[in-house]
Order: sequence, then structure tokens, then C-alpha cells
Amino acid sequence: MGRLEERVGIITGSAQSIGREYALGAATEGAKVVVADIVDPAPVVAEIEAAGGEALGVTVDVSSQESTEKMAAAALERFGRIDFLVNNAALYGGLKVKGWLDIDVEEWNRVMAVNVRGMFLCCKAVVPAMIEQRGGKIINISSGTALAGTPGLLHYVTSKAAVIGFTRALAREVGAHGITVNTITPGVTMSEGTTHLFENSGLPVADRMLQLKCLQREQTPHDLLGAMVFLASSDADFITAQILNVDGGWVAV
Amino acid sequence: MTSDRVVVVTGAGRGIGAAIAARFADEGAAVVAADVELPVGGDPRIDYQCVDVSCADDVTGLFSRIIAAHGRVDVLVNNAGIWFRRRFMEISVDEWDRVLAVNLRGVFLCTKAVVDPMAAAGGGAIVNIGSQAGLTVTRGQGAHYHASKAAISHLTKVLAFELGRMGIRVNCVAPGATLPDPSLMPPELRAQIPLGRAGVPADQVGACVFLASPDASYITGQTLMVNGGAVAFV
Repeated sequence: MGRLEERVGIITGSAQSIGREYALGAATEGAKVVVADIVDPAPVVAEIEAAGGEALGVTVDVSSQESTEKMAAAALERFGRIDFLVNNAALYGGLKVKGWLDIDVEEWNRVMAVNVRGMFLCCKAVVPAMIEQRGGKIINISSGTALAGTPGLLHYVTSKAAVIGFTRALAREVGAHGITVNTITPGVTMSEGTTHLFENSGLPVADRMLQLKCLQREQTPHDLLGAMVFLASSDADFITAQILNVDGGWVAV
Repeated sequence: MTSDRVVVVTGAGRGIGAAIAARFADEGAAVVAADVELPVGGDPRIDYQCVDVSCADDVTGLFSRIIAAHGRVDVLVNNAGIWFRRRFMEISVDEWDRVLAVNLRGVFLCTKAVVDPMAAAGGGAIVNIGSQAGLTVTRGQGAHYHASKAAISHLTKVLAFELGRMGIRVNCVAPGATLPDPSLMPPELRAQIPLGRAGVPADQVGACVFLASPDASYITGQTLMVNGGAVAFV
């Protein structure tokens, strides 16, 4: 029996990259997954169904209140409940490493709208159902770059630091309803997004990271799955307001 | 997931240690529970060993027996610990030394004993049970306890760094206030905890088992707090 058996989870940004790993992994653990993304979620839904799982694809723009409300409504209509929400959707791979003064205001605003406001709006849309159910789990994806203060991505780093404050404060406000809120801070993960981000930046990302790490291998999207499943499972029932740092022993060591 | 794994849990005669040991046994592991005081009866699936983790000879003997019987150690949970409600100025030198000896030297001795077997087997996982008191001031606990638990969280990082190259991951679980019966916590303190209750030993099991498992294969050097949201700012 899977650790997320019969649980319904919405995972934003799960049509691709790390989010897709979360969706596939959650389904393998028995969860019914809402694959929510701004790009077409159908291929991931098909992958889950082909493996015998249950999934619903929803196209969503997390920076839009209306769109997030529709996402929650669609989840409830299909599955009747929402047990966990993974706020994974974020602008990252579409960005480029650059000096902070080269970030124009429009780009700054877009990153905040998706990465921070999006997390707020998804929680707003989903928490009422969790309150009625007297329980639920919210997992917000932050980043190790927010702990380390990584240069070259100021808007991204700032947005991910906001995830930490949001997680701690929201946990205190919804704890009485049996809802836990935690965050995962991944280290720099070798995904398509990371490759694109650092392309042509002249920065030797992978090698430099390895020298500083306890575990001598690069981080892959799959490395994050265990943490997500754990936080969504009953094994994490008494954990809330916390950061789970998954980075091979890099930033906090 | 943990079938055939050899798991050693110290301080597993009762409380958090006993709960952790029982869960590993549920998952099919061969579990050795070490404690200075062994339970009457106990869990028939578990191999109980009477050991004072602060005593080097006891620890050497324990792990010799374990290696002789099982050939390996896959997981070590350093849970043994003692505490006293004691104002700082009332802590005697002997009591200071005793708390540090069990809580910190015990971690040192047991960890040292498993490094070679784990390295020879290609890796392993160590989970140190620290405490919220290792990260923030916790009323009701003595300064010696606080210091020993803070040391454990930091030691976890150094060990993660030094042993990482041998495939050994080292993490720490930091429990908040844990009571055998949560109703013992006065309502005004309960109200300060987001999840509305004191912790019980079973609350710590999930985090410990997760950190010891392959699902946490890229997690090392970390302290994970399990406290119902009571503390979050560290």
C-alpha cells in the first residue's frame, strides 16, 4: 500500500521538470493527482494513467485568482477532496543568470507574481476545503539559493525567501484546523531549467557545487521526490512550519 | 523498505527510542535496542542489549556483538539521552559531566563504532536525536541539556561532511516537548503550539525512519524539527 493511498494532491507546475517527478511519484504512492500547469498537463496525466494511476489535468495560471479558484473547483469536482497541495510552479528555467541591476521591473514583477502571489492564491483557493476536511498538507517549494544568498538571480532568490516566511506564518494560522505547512529547499538541481538558466553564463555550476558538498554527486530531480512524499504523508503529521533542506549537504553545513 | 536492514537504536528501552525501534521492527528490520535500563517484557522482535553509551568499553562490546551476530550495521539511531530540570547555578560539576557524557560522548562513541562497518558495506545512515532545546531556549530544561543538544546538531554537520564521502549520511531529528501523555501539558502552553497539543513519542518516528531511508538519499547534515510548529524561526 502506497504512502499516499487515497489522498488527493494538487501539484502546480507538474507538467514538466521537477514537478513532473512529484506528480509521477505521488501517483506511484497511490495518490490521485491534479497535474496543474500553465503548459499542457495532458502528457503527464497520460503517463500516470498508463501506469495505473488516477490523474486530472488542469491548465492554470497560478498568478491569477480566478484561475486558481477554477483549479481548486476542478479538483473538488473530480475527486471530492484535497489532501495536499504542492506549490511548485515558479519562474526559474525561463530566467537567465544576470546582475541585479540588469533585472527590469517587469521581470521582477512577473517573478513575484508567479512565485509568491501564486503560492498565496493557490493556498487561498485550496485551504477552505482542507478546513472543512479538518486537515491537509501544504508543501511550498523554496530554494537553497534563498538560504545561501546566491548571486545572479536576485528576484528568484527573493521570491524563494518569501516562501520561507509565508510557510512559517501560515503554519501558525492554519494549525488549529489540522493543516500543516512546510517547505522544501532544494539545492541546485540538474534539471532542464537549471541548464537553461546557467547556459552561456560562464559559471561552472556543477563542479563548484560538488566541491562544497558532503555527498559527491550532482542533484537530480528524483532526489527531491522522497521529501515531497514524506511531507505529504501521515509520517509528517506533527511537522509544521519547517524547512526540509535537500541538497546533499551543501548550504547549511 | 527496511527488510533485512540491521538497525541499532540507543536509549530504546522506552519513550521515543522504543517507538522508533518498534517501527523499524514493523518494517522487517533486525533491530537492536540498547539501553541502560531494559524494559520488563519488551517487544519479542527486538534484541535488547544493556549498555551505557557513555562507557567506551560498553559501546565497543555492544558493536562487537552486533557485528558478530549480523555482520553489518545499516542504520544507527543515537537516541540515548538524559535531562534534568535544573537552574544553571544549581548544576553540579558531576551532573554537568554526566549529561554531556551520555548525550554527547555517547553519540561520539556509538558513531565511531559504526563508521568502519558502514564504510565497508558501502554506506549507511545515522540519525541523531537532538532537541528543540539544541536550537532555542526551552524552559524546563537545564543548560547542560541545551548545550549537549546544540552540540549534537552541529556535530551532525561535521559528521555529514567527513563521512559523506564514505556513503554515510548523518542527520538529526529535533523533537519539541514530548510527553507520554499529552494531557499533562497545561492548556496555556498547548495554546502556543500551532497543532494544539504536546508531542508524543510516536510523533518522532516518521522523521527518523524517513531520514534513515533511501528516500532521503540526498539529505545529509540536516536537523529536522518535529514539534507541531512550536518553534520555527531557527
